[in-house]
Amino acid sequence: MNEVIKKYKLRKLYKSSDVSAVWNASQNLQVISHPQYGLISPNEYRAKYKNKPCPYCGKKMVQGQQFYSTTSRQDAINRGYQYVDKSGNKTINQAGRNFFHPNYITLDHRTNKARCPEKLFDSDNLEAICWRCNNQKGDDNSFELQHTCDYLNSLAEEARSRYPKL
Amino acid sequence: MTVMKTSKERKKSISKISHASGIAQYALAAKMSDEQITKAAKHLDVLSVIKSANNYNRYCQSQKTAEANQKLKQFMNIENSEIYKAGQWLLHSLSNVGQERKESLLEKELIHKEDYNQTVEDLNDVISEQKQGVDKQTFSASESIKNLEDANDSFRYQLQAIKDYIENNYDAKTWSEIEKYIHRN
Ligand SMILES: [Zn+2]
Repeated sequence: MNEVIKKYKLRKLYKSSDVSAVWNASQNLQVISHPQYGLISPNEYRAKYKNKPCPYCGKKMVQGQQFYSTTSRQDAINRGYQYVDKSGNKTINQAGRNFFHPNYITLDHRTNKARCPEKLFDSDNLEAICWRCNNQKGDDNSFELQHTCDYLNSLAEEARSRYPKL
Repeated sequence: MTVMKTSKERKKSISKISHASGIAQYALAAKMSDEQITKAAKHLDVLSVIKSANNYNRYCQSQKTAEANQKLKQFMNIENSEIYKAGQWLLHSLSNVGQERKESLLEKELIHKEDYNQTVEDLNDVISEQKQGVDKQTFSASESIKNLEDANDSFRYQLQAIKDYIENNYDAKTWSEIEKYIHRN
């Protein structure tokens, strides 16, 4: 199947579980029309951003299950995969029985896919971000905005601390 | 007036005057005419009276010269040279980074403190104002997004419920007709 799924069909997906099912089934289908790479699959899209910095945390995004995942929780901890999430809990990225590197590459929908399924395969609604940041983002559509705001505030604080009054 | 007959006589008189006054022969020879030499030679006793004062004066002059020479020496000594020190300091400052450099410039008072403080205050005012604006806008945009998310969730829930109701109480074909109708319009 090589045809891009029609938007009007996507629009009729009312349940988030239905949206996820379509998304998961399309990982190796060339459903994304990329302005630069033409028709590519979500997996091919991800691969384009391998080793590039995550737009949120700036850490290098990794890909490759044989190098960046393990089936042992203890091994994952030894490898430093564990991190503290936004709720303050120790967590490790997990899919099925595999534990993944915190900055493993994921494909995120800027406007979350459950609420805007017609943009499921729009390349301008897709963004490669690391797994950890994806977890933090969740389905919050203000995440990017909040992130920009935090970034600006930290810049302001930096400016203040660099130039104290004498 | 007696006029000197020979240069030999002049030299002899200069020698006498020099001895009595303590003034070096070369200076007398250079600055005094034959007539003046002859005149001075007649008053050697008077010259010897001022000799000690003249010597003292010369001593003081030599002392001053020594002091000046010492300063010149210090200045010439590259380690003590003000220019050298300024150069070293500048080089050091340039190799510093950020905060360190600024402090070092302030130490040397190359930055005017009041100007600096005023600029920092202005900067802080601008930052505070911008921060307030950005925070407020971000907050209100997040609120709007949250409201739209809630409305979206509600509509999707309602549509799913309607779909389920139609499919269960009529049939799947009816719902399909409705979908086509929505799509056409
Ligand atoms: Zn990240």
